[in-house]
Amino acid sequence: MTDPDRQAGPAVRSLRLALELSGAGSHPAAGRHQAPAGVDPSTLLSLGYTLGIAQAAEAAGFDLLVLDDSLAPADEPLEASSGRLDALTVAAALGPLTRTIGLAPVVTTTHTEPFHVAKNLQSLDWVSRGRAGWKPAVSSTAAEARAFGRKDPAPPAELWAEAADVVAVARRLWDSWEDDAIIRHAPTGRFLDRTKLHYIDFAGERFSVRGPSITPRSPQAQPPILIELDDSAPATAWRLAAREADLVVLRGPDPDAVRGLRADLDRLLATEPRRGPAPAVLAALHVLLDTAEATAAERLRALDASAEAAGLALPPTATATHVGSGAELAAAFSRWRAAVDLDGFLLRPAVAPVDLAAFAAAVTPLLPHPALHPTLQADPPPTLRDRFGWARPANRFSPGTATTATLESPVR
Amino acid sequence: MSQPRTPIRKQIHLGAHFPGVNSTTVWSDPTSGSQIELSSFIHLARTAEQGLFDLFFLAEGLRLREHRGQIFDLDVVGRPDAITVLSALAGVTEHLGLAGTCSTTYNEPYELARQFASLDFLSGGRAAWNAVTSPDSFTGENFRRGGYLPNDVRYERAAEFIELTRAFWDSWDTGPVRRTTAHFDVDATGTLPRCPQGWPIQIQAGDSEGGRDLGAAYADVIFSRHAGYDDGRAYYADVKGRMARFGRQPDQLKIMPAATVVLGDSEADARERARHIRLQQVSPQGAIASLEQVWGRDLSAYDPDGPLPDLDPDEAGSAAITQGRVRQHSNSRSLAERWRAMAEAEDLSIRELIIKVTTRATFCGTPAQVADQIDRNVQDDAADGYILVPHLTPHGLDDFVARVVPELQDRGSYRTDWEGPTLRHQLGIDHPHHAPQPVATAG
Ligand SMILES: Cc1cc2nc3c(=O)[nH]c(=O)nc-3n(C[C@H](O)[C@H](O)[C@H](O)COP(=O)(O)O)c2cc1C
Repeated sequence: MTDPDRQAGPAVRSLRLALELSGAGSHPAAGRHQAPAGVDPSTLLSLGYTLGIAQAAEAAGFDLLVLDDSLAPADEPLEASSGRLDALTVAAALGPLTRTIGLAPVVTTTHTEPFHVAKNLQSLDWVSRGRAGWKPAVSSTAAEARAFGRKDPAPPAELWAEAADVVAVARRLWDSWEDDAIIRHAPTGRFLDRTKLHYIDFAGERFSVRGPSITPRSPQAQPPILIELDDSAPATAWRLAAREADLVVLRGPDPDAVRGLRADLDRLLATEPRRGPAPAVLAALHVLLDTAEATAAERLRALDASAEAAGLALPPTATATHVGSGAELAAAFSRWRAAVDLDGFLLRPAVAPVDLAAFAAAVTPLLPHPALHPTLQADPPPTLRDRFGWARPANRFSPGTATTATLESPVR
Repeated sequence: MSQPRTPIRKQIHLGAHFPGVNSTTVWSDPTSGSQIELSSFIHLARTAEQGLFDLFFLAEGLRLREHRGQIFDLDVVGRPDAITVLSALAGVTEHLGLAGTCSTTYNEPYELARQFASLDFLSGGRAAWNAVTSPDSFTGENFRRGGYLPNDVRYERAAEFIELTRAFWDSWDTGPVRRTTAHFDVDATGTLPRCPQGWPIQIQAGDSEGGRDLGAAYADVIFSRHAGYDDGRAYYADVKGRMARFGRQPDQLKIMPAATVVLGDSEADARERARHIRLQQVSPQGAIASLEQVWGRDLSAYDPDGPLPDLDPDEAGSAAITQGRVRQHSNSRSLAERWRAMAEAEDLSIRELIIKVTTRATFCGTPAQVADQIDRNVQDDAADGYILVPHLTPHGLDDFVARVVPELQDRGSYRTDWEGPTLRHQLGIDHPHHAPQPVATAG
């Protein structure tokens, strides 16, 4: 699995699908209805709940499960459905219990330690046998700053510049061991060839990290990084995405808006320094589908009514929302891709288990199913990078790997 | 499984330590497997679970050890993050406690409380946190603060840290945590309701006055270095004696020293195996490195099979020569003198001497003899049980579980079934004010 020369095969299919799980679902009232219309909030914090979603998403052909997270303290009223588990810890629990789906937790970069973030993601890659991804996020609220008490809140532009430093540190720590550093050479008594370990000596404006990682280079070496952008994202976030993201998620209200975002991204991709292939680009979509019990429109009315009754804010309109049948969703995929150059979609199910089951029943049969692809049946199964057709990258610290000053300098 | 239990017999608690990055772990043996692949962790955890152990234990070191200014390359190096691995084990084990070591110096209470609470939810009440203070500022070069806090202040931070994690674990019941202390200034409610165990099990490892007080005040389990009979009894009496000062009862704390076991079909066979393992643990190069730690200087020109150096140790060099591991001695000159006298009296080479003064197996003998030794120590209050440190990954406890556990059960001092679903149940330690809650599971 850690053969550095392994070439990636062809990608599993051309349409990429990611599912983002945020508690009971993206609708604020998702945790207020009992099954089959909603999710029992008392189960949300069990491994069984998330595992059910992950296994269903894997079976339905999703390439990637993104686990939403934030360090925001819980708000009043404190209800079972407002509890939030640490996403990386959840992803790790899913590692040995799933086989082929990518596992990308949100891990924040503002109040966390870059060294911990990097080695925890590397460890996720080990426990998932090469299926880790990472969606970096920032903590911009005063409430989060007060939970740590180490620094003041800052505007998003500054926080994303810091996130870029954290990504730079992570990428270097992930390469700080060469693949063949462990030699177990009994005649000289050496377990390790220490010339193949590298101090990263990152020194930025905000922190410095010496390295090397405490964790050996992981199966994918560089777990894919996913960055989500919309028209309010600061320039620092856009620049980071253009330089470092393997997957970019564009969020807009409709295909026209997302086409504009895609053009902005392409302009940056043409000018920003970048290592490796261009990113895969996904559009974010909320989905609310017809079920056997109710149409999507009826479900939406019921969810909105209970959100209103509980005084909850309705879902934001800044993200495109599909309310309708599965067949209509499959048609929408084609319509969007005719209008915008997209590799696929990141879906946010309104009520996670319900809409995922509806997707599996109505949409999966209409798409080329990746599980039928021979790559996914291989043993060991492909890594997340394999699945996207991305080769395992050469080590930036190995002799003979070209690096440039531009690529090494943190994004400002 | 329905063996009658004699209630008067003190029950033994056992933990399994995943082999560490030190010379106890033998990597040169043909059966030594990966120290990083998940399959190794799963094997040892499942072995421990078959043996009805209380817990599985992972250590932590946040900077690779260095010796003479270079990364130390003679021992196993490289491990994954503890909480991440334990979480991966949550779904492939059922009853085993999952204990991870995390520093109070290079973490923050709000985030660490959340990670351990998450592990407690995902495992249905099996999480444990070994709070350590990280013995050196060298580690700090990997963190935002840089080299941080003199040693004596670290236990002050550790105590405040533990208090804050408890407040965050309680915060959905007791309200927002608003505290300004010497080391922290926080104001928040945690992101999670109370976790299944109320608070994850608290472990402490650290031997100074500060460490012992921290353990007496807060720990449910102490992981100590005092595995022998006499030093075990002295340590046990000392730490349990401190508990009254903190308003605690002695049975609210289990003392579980680190222990190694060598088994044989006969006593002589076990001794022979122990000798073989010690030769593996102390390679010729490793012997020189151990000597350099005391002498504080480059001794690479010396023959490991020859006599000890005549020259005197460099005291300052000895304090600085190795970074990232706890120094085990305080006065190099007197230790060197003792070693030289011992080597001369018994005609020992450098390697033979190092073998003699380090890495002795705690328990050695036939399964019945080892069971007797463990049982006697526990009945006589030298310990409440042991955290077993195997020398081989991942099969190092296979024999113990197959052969010693039944012996302990026959003696009536070891469980024959699980005590309940959570780690608190196995340890028999109640939360001060909260009964364990099962996690609701989906559909
Ligand atoms: C048995 C034992 C195991 C320990 N394991 C770790 C460990 O895994 N990681 C770590 O950073 N420190 C570990 N420590 C170190 C302690 O937390 C502490 O930092 C060190 O012992 C110095 O503190 P002291 O002066 O109180 O002993 C361990 C200590 C003991 C006694």
